[in-house]
Amino acid sequence: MKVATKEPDGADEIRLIQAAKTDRDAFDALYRRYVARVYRYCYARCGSRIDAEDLTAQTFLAALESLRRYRGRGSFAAWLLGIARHKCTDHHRRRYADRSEPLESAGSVPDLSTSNPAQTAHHRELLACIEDSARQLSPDRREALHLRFWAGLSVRETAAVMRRSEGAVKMLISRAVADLRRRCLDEKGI
Amino acid sequence: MKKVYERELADRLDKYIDLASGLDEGQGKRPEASIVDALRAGAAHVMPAPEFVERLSVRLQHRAKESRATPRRLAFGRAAWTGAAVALAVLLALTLPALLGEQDLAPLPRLVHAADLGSAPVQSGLLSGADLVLVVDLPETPAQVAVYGATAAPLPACAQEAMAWAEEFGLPDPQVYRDPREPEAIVVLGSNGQRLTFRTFGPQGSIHYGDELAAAVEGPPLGFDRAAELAVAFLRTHGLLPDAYQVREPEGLASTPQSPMRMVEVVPELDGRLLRGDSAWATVAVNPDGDVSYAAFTPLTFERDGSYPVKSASEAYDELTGDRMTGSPFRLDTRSEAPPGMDARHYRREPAVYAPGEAVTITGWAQVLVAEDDSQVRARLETLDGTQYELEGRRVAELAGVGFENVQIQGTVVARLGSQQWQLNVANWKMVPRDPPACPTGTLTWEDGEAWLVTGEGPRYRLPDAPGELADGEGIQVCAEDQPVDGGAMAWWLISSPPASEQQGSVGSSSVSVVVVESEEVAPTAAGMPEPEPEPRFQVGQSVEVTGVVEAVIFVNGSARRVEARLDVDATGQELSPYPLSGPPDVLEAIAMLDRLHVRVRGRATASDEGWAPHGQGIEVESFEKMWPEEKVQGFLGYLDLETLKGRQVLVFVDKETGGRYVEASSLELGSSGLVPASIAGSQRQVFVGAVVEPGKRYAGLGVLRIVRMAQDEKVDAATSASELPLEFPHVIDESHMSPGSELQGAFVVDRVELAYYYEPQTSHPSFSPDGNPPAPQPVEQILQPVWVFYGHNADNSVTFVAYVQAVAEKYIQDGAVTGTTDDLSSPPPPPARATPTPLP
Repeated sequence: MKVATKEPDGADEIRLIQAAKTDRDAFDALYRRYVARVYRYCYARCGSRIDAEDLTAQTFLAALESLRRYRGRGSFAAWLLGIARHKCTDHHRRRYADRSEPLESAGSVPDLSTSNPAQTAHHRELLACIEDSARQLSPDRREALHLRFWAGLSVRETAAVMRRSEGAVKMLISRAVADLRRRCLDEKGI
Repeated sequence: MKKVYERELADRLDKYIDLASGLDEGQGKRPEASIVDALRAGAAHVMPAPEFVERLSVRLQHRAKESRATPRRLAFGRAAWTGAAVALAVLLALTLPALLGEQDLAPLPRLVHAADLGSAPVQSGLLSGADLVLVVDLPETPAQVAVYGATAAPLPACAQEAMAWAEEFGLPDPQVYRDPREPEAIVVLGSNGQRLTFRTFGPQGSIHYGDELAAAVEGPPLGFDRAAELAVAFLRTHGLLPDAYQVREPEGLASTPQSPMRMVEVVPELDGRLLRGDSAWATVAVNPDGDVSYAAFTPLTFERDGSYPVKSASEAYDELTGDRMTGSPFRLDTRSEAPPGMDARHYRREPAVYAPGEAVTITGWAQVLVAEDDSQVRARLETLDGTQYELEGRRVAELAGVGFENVQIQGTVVARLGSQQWQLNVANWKMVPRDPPACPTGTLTWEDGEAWLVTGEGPRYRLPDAPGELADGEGIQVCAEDQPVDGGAMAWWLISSPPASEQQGSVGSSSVSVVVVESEEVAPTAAGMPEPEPEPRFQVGQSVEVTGVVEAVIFVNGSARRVEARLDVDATGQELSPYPLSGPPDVLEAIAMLDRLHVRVRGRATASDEGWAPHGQGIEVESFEKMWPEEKVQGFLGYLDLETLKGRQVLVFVDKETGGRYVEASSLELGSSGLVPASIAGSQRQVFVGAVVEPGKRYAGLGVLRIVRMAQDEKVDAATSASELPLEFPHVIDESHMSPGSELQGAFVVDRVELAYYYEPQTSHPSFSPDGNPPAPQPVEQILQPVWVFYGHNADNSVTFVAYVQAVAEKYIQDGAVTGTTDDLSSPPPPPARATPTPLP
């Protein structure tokens, strides 16, 4: 499965956003288009299902209030995830504890099963290592992974949210992946 | 090469993330692919619970219905209808709406001044050395202040659009050109010396207008008010005048007899508040005849975008003086001038005058423009004294590739075009190193009607055409384009009295000091073969014992002291930058004393966030020892010259005191003069080097000298022994003088405080991104935020400052700096010098 990094059809998206400014059904459609990406991102940031739901709700409530100020000059996904990012940062400020739950507790339990039980076990082990190792990445590298993988943003959108160049984002992700490779594949031999 | 490889891998990885391809290698995929697959799988399987999605959908629809049915302030009035809790409902109706309204404001970016210290937020304590006294009443603080979106107005994107602008500005016979150094810029030249330049910096842009004929007009400058009227009229005519604005004379650009243009800044106002920052206004130069000779604009459009609570002026002043807030003030501009009574004089030499047909050799900076249709190349050479040479001849087209190098032209003067403008036919040309101008200091001596600069006990230089008012024995500093020869005439273009280093408030130094950066050994690789991927040498946590060369710098700031040390590990076949060293301060301090020497280090491999650390790794030092007891950094005084030894041209250093001869290490590896600037290598001038004699290494019967620092200036000229010159290893840097605001020491008064808007061109998208591709320019809205601006000065006005404090209440400011990390290739510190790998026994 590939991450949905491609932006939805541009014209359709713009029409939907314009309509959502006055039409609650249109906003609901917009909401359903993005709720999973916002939730995943919030989950990756806070590691808690309950907090991820709360932050997702806060994000969309803020987006509803602020949508009239969105003028379509940049990606809507980047704009929305920008709000989510602020909400998550605020959340961390308020709660210093580094709480986390196992990945499997998030929403629908991830089904990593494959036809090969050994491969499934390998995936689970690798994922657990990645989850653990990601906490040791520098904040910028970690954030780039969150936005690119969990929020499903494109490089350009990630760059817009992080206020970096696209090249810098690619480099952040490349180094983060290299770090995870070293920790999980090279050192632990998973 | 490492960065090139990293960029390539980053691009391939990015492609793989999007398309699941691009990481194929040999029989399988790169290991990174499995990490990406796992990340994708992990992300894909995190889904919100369906019941949560439905619950939130209902809640959002309910909120949308409420907010459209009634003004928000009444929304919570519904609570009053619930009966029993009437009092509570009234209270909620009074308080919660306002609170909710504030909570829903989108956070604003924390303001950062990109020019400061690699774009990092300004540290606290900028004004800690200044004793501030507020002598003005702080202004009233509005409860809320609007923010504005600022969007760059579109600039011409093609030749046709640029031509339309040129027509509007009245350029006769306009032609479109491109500057090879700025391919995105469009230049339109009129046949009468008028010029329009359109530049795009990422999403921002600017328009520059110039009129060479108007710029050549001399005479007494216009009064500012008249010049301002004309500047405003010019902007209005071309539709570039803001709706509301103030005019002002820019600081430090007052008219002088040498420059009779009157400069006018037209600064936009929003809600009666000035737009401060950079480049948010138009700058217009008006000549003595009242014509505009130059104008620069950053066209912006503004749109109101919500209101935010702001800090009071008192709170902002507390931040300014309290040393509590990192990044507040976020910007501090200081200006230092010679105090009254210090008579600093500067003399420029009369520009050269030539006869038609005269053969000349001119060195300067070339600007080359290539016609849009490649039919013509126009080139102009400008020298340090401001003289311009319009170049012609069949070889001019060759200059299109000179880039940013200096060019030396040999040619023939064709005609005079203006007081400092000549037409020159090019016979020959070459690129020359852009060395800093030579600016020796010394004493002026008059001998038989001729002026001489006498530099202490060292060389003397004749100063043709020296100003007669300079007194015998006066201390001066003289700048020339080329390094003068002892006893010869100096082609000077600036004489300053007293020397800049003695002028309070000025900066600069007369010495020319060059730190030689050593390169790594160039490993021969088969042409066209990709370099093998370097593998991590260690695993994090692993015990290591390595040898290499220490590179260390000690930073001091008051009583604080820290060591930055690296180890350039001896390795073969790998291109690795040095490993950052960590450990207890006393250990790092001790290893720093072995700066530039070989050591054996025992310790542990650690993870490092330094962008340049090899494989993101560093070494935590537990113990170390010097490898070569006799190895040391020594000072040598002597000469460098090229010689051919064993069939190779290498640089040879001759020790003036002992007569010892050494081969310079970088020239041995790279050929010719290696990393030593050619201007020093063949100068026949005495040079002082800090260097290490490579243990056990010889070439053509000579020892090999690894130069790590080098100086060639008048102090070196005057020295008879290396022991007379300082040689400091490790290098100690006083950080207290490096931060902005460090010159603000003593008593200052703050006599003006205002609330303004702040604009700074966006810098997070460089003109060329780190991956080498120009980013797609697209209009980007920037938020203009209110800022408190504090103006201060010391007792004699010789030092003034302007400090900016972000005004929006802290709770509405988002975290995080705007730009700059070690992962951003546009900003990382350059990798430190690499030392030559040396075989060890």
